[in-house]
Amino acid sequence: MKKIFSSISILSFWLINSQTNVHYRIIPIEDNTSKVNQMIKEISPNYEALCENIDFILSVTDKESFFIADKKTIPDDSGVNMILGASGYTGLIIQKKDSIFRQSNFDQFGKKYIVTDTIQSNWKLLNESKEIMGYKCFKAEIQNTISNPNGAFKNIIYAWYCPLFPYDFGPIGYGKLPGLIFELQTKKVLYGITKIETNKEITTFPSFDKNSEKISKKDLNQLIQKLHQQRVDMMKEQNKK
Amino acid sequence: MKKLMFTAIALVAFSGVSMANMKGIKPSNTKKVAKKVVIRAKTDCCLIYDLAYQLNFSETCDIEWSEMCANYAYNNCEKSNQ
Repeated sequence: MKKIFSSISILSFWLINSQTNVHYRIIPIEDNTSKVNQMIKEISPNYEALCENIDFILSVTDKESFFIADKKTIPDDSGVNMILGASGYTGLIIQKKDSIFRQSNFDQFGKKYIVTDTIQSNWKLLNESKEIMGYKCFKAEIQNTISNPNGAFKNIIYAWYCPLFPYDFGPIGYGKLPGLIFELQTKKVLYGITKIETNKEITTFPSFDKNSEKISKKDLNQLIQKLHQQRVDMMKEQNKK
Repeated sequence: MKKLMFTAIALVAFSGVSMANMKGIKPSNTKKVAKKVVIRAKTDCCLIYDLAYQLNFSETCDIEWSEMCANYAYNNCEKSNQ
């Protein structure tokens, strides 16, 4: 027992003094009742297979992490890009202890935005466990509230975390669990771990797009709604002519 | 009025010259070419854009993603209209 405890302590010490790169892939969740999924399938019938090759990297140190998809692995396909947005990925995500900075792909005439948010921490730890890549992982769930003009909706997000890796980070800005997130399931996709590279040299973090302005999620949503309405009105006017 | 008259005369004169030029040319190709006319209905991409935006809300998607999804639907529609 002592040996196990000391080896966990040594592993933990070794991990927090280096950078760990965790690779993930996404699997779209099949939902035949979803009209949005039907629309995506109509545009790109093969989007599920195309998504499989996208390589996401979560690079973590004990203080912060960044999450990014390898651009070379993203196919130039509308359906894939739609599902990427649905997966909660819009570009580089930098996660500090309590806050998230996310590159939005919303573009206002060349002006880009970095969305600032706080990390949700009200996880409910469950008793279920399973092995992922040979490591014992535990299940947790959290309620995610999404607000849109139709109202506020609650979705449950599930995570499988591994306490052997003492990082409180995970994909798409989720974290604050007593271990690295190995698997994350949202309403539309599942992020699954494919590879862990430990003891990497600490490298510089990638940076956000130039000319990006920091904005809160609430303010960005208001801006998008306003511009959407303006665009629809403009298109209707053009159609009349 | 004078200007209009001048333009009309110029147009008539020009067409006269063109006709005169054509008189001396014999048709070189006598083969009949069958032309196929394909009629394609153009989709209203504006409607697609707005529908995609609203559709996402009905499935509890957030505003940022709905706008992004609507943009892709619009671009795809424009491409298929070309």
